[in-house]
Amino acid sequence: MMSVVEPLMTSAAYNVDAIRAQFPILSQTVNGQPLVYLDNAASVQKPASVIEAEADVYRMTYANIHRGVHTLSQTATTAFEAVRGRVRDLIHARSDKEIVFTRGTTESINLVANSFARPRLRPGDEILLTGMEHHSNIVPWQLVCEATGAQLRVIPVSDSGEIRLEDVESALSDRTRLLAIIHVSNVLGTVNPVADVCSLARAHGVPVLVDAAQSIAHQPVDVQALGCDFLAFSGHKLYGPSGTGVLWGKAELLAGMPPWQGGGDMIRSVSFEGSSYADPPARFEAGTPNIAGVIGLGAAIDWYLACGPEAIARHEHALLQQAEGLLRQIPGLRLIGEPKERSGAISFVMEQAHPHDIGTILDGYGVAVRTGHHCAEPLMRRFAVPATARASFAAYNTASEVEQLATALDKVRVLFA
Amino acid sequence: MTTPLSELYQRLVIDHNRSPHNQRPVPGCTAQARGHSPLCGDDLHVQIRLEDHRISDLGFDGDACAVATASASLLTDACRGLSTDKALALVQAMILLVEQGDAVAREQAAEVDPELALLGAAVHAFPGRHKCAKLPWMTLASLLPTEHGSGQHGKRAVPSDPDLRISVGAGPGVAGSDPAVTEAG
Repeated sequence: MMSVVEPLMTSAAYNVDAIRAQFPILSQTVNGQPLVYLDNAASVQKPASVIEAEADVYRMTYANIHRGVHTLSQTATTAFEAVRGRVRDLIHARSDKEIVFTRGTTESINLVANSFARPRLRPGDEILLTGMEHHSNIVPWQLVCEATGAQLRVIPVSDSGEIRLEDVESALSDRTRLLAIIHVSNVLGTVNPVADVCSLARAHGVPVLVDAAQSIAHQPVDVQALGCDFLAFSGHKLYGPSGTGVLWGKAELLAGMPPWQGGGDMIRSVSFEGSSYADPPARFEAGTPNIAGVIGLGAAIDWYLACGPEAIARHEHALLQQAEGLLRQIPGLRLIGEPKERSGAISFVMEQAHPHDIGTILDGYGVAVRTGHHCAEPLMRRFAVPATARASFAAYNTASEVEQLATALDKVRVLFA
Repeated sequence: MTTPLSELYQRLVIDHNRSPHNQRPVPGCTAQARGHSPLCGDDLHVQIRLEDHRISDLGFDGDACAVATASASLLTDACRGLSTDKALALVQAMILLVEQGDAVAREQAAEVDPELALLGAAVHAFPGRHKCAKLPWMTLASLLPTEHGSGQHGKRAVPSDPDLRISVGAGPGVAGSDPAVTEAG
């Protein structure tokens, strides 16, 4: 998708200054330097409209949702429930009822692992993953495997940081109960061929969960086009509040899943002899949710769609190309992963300096990057590095910030030379 | 570049990172430990030779950032020849200096080696790097006997850090893979 884009078209159509002006946090200085925030794969900053939407809930419309007959409760319920429709439109779900609110990607994946996978798993069954998964798409499956005697099977990652469809094909078997795959790698930026993977899995009758944490705010995400069965993402990576997230599941699959957590809001009726459970999505939303956060997430989706996912993708792609070009010119710097299709993030190591030293020195120049294992230790081992430094981009980053990154990295090189 | 950053990197860390002191195996080594920081990837291996409650020799090796490497390099210079009690007191002072910028701890460190005090105080300004500087000291502490018993089995007077994995008896390699290893971090 990105490869057909012509970066030259972006500057005219895309007003990055107007976008930046909407993010209050970006106007500050760090260590006496203007903040250059390039840690967007960890979390993105919030536009004023999202900050205000969440604050306005507490100022004007806050009450607990569902079942309240008083005005505030009804207003809050309406605003909260309306966000399901915004998510439905964003990811092209068929129905609001397929949208489950969670605390984030991690909780969404744990929900599927426990409620969907666990009852289906028998000893010897397999859950298929890729070697570039985030810990949040490894450990929940490990836990259900330990409890059931099933096992993980891992699709290898190539030197370029990609998976091969033939490896997916050969790993699928009649023991495979589910395939879980990261849409875009949070470390390498690799865009995985998820639609192709889903069609291979479908041919084997294997359901697919897509971890869309890193793709949801960087390219259009369409669950129908992907052909997946579950999709998980976090609000905080979509310009929304932290502590919000979404699990989308096909209605027929959600309908057959037992509750995961018990509590208020997820029941039809309760007695000490037994309880009956609400239909999805309420069945999976026990307890009072992050009401103001979800309403803030609605504002974030409005903001994102108004900016235009395609325009943002083009803008970020141009920044990535620029960054790749500049970083390749720095002696001793090595990119980790060189996928044909990249989105959002670029990881690297330097001969001269450990990633943590790079991070501290860049911070001295106001440049925020992430250093460490990025919650992907198996991937670090695959590339035989203890850690990497990672720059990751969002709608508000500029070409001049990419230059500042490269300049600061060159200063690291000189300091350590 | 800001002053604390140049303090940290230019004056001390870079020199000791370029050519660390005592980065070598210790002949007749009596105890060794591995210190690993999974979050950032620092991985150090410390060897000591104890003779009559005294550290007669020590060295280190590993793959770590400049702060951890410089800290280990200074540690090996400062602790050679110290009694185990004095070494433990220095470990406690360094951890206090790095974590809290404690003035008394700074003086204690400076009495042994002024460079130690400079490193500890410089790193204190970078909370994200405290663990890097502490790693070699906590690894050494795991090897020092205390009045309550030996380093491997006795109560240790050094605070633990849940993010640092210290494995007593472990040579270079994968932490926790050796069943004899004691997780002491």
